[in-house]
Formats: sequence, C-alpha cells, structure tokens
Amino acid sequence: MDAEKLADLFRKYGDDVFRLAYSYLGNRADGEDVCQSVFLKLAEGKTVLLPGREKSWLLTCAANLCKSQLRSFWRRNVGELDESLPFRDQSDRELWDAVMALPPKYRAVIHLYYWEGYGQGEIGDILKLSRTAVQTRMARARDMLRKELSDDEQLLAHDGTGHNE
Amino acid sequence: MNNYWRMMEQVTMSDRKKEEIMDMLENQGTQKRRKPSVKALVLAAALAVGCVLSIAAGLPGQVYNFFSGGSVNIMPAGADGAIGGAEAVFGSTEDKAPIILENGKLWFANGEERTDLTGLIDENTPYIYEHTDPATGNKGYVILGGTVDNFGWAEYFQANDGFGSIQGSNYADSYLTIDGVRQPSYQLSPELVEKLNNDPSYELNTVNYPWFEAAMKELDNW
Repeated sequence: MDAEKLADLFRKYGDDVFRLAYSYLGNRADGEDVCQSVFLKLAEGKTVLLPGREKSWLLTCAANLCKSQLRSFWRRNVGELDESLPFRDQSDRELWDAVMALPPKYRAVIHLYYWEGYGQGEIGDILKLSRTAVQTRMARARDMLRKELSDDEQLLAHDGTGHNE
Repeated sequence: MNNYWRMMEQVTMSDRKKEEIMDMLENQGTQKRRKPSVKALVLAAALAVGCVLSIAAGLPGQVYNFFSGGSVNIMPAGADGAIGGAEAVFGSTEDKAPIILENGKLWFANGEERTDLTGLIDENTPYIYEHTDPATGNKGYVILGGTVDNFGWAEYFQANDGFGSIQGSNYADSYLTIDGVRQPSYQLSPELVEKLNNDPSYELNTVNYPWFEAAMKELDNW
C-alpha cells in the first residue's frame, strides 16, 4: 500500500482507532501507541485490505493489540497518570468516569455499540466473541452504568445510530 | 446521536501524535517506535529475576494474599481510567515456590501435598491452580510450566478494573540485544540504562515463555 493511501486511511479512521484503544485501555498514551502500531502494521505491507472492510480491519487489529497490552507485564503493573480530558459538559465528564470505571472488556463493547453503531454480530467479529457473549457483556455493562450514573438515562438515550452510520 | 457519542466526539488524538504517525506513514514505517522509559526498563529487569515492582498509593483497594507468599493491594482506577496504583509485598520466590524438582520430576507443592506434574506440563503447556485467598475471598491463579531443564511459575491476580499483579520466577525470558547480538540475562547498571535509553543499538526485550502465554490466554476472558 502506498504512502498516500496509508495517510488517507489514517486521516479517515485514525481517531476512531484511537478512540477504541483509549476506551479499551483507559489511558491516552497507550491508546495513541496502539493506534500507531495498527497503522505501522498496515505500513508493513503484509495485509491486503478488502474494499469497504478497511475500518473493520483497523478496529479488529486495534482490539487485538489492546488485548495483548492488557495481558502484558507493563500494563498489568505499571500505569501513568493521565491528563484530564477537557469535556464541554459536566454530564460528559460523569459519563466518561462511569464508563472508565467499567472493566476493559465491557468498555470495548460499549464503545463499539454506542460510538461505532455496530450490531452484536459485528462487535463479536471485531472482539472475537460470540453473539451471546456480546449480549452478556452489554447487559452487565449497562447494569453497572445504571448504578453509577446519577441520571441513568444518560447513556441509554440511544436512538440506534452511531458514528459508523 | 446518543450521549456517549457526544462525549466521545470530544476525545481525539493529540496533534503531536497525529503528526508523528503521519510522518511515519509518509516514510512507510521506517521510523522507530517510542522507546521505553527508564522506569519501564528497570521494571523489565525486575521481571527477569522473577519479581515485580509496584507503584505506591494510599487508597483502599482489592487485596490478594498470594498463595506463594506476600500480598498485593490494587487501588481502584482513577478518573480517566488511570491506574490507581498498587502496594505489594512480594513473597520469597525461593521459599514458597509452588513448583519443585525432586527425584528428577517436577511437582506442584501445595502445602504438604505434592502433585506429580509429569505429563501435565511442558514448554507449551501450563498447569493452572485456582487459589482463593482465605482472607479476602479474592481468586488468583498459580501457573506452572516448563521442563525439568527449564521450569518456572507465576501467580497472577487480576482486580475488577482489569489491572493486576503477578509474581513468580522464570516465566519470562529477558535479554538484551547489543549491536544486533542477543545477550543472556543481565544486570542493569546505571550506565547500561543510559545506553538503553540513548543508543538504538541497545535493545531490551522480555518474552514470556510459551507455557505462560498459553496460561494467560486460557485465563483471559477479554
């Protein structure tokens, strides 16, 4: 893949890859590094992206790298303080804190559903989970969020669309 | 649009990182990845000898008393998901090692009990024992693997927020690459740390043994 095509993909999907990694790992620096690694893999030229499946591949690759990162020695034992995100609204801050308090495996499902607008089958494909496992994680994550959020409708105010649509 | 979408829309990569990645892509991945910090390097050295360091904090967290001695207190993740820290007192990896070599065989030592590991473990196959901390009810895993010539163990505890702690011995191989030549385990002198951070010909790697990797995959339910 030539440099121009790589740059185009990064401009188009870079932030989405970063958002998945950040929400999965809960740390900006790690999220950025995973994003960089994803595009580095692509730049190695060993991957053939099917037309229309580029984003799916990038997110799947990011999810795999996040899983590896969570298993790794450094991730398990070392963390660094993250800077605060400058949210426009206090409710956004509360929602972010509540989501980040979830276990990583739940955060990934929530993110792919609410941000990307993927269905259970697509989420399962990206995270290598069965549809049942996706359902279970989604249900548990929502239950946990309901307990955390002062306004339990905050996250659940969802009209079925996402960034991806 | 949902509220999560509205929130996440405000989360973007830093311009500095975007520029770095863009430069990398324009050069077709010829730039090197970010180098690990001195802190990371020092921790890698600790792993090589089979113990783990931690970062201090003072908040109550999830406590786990290791089967193999010592304990860890993992603090809850803070805002933005940053790790809250951990306080650990690791046990002696010699005195309470759960795997022992006796009479040419490897054994799982569980108190006075012995389980013959012959045929149960090898270079790629771990033996996993689930341990419930009687004091807290938290569960951890004792992982054994290898051969009579090269065996090791690890004990792993993961807190609810995904962070965890591990102690053990010889479950990973750390090595140094100097001028392209792989060197065996090493002692990290201040001079070497300086070279690792500044001289690209010095490269530090830590690789988990396959049996340990297999165990972590089996235990992993991400």
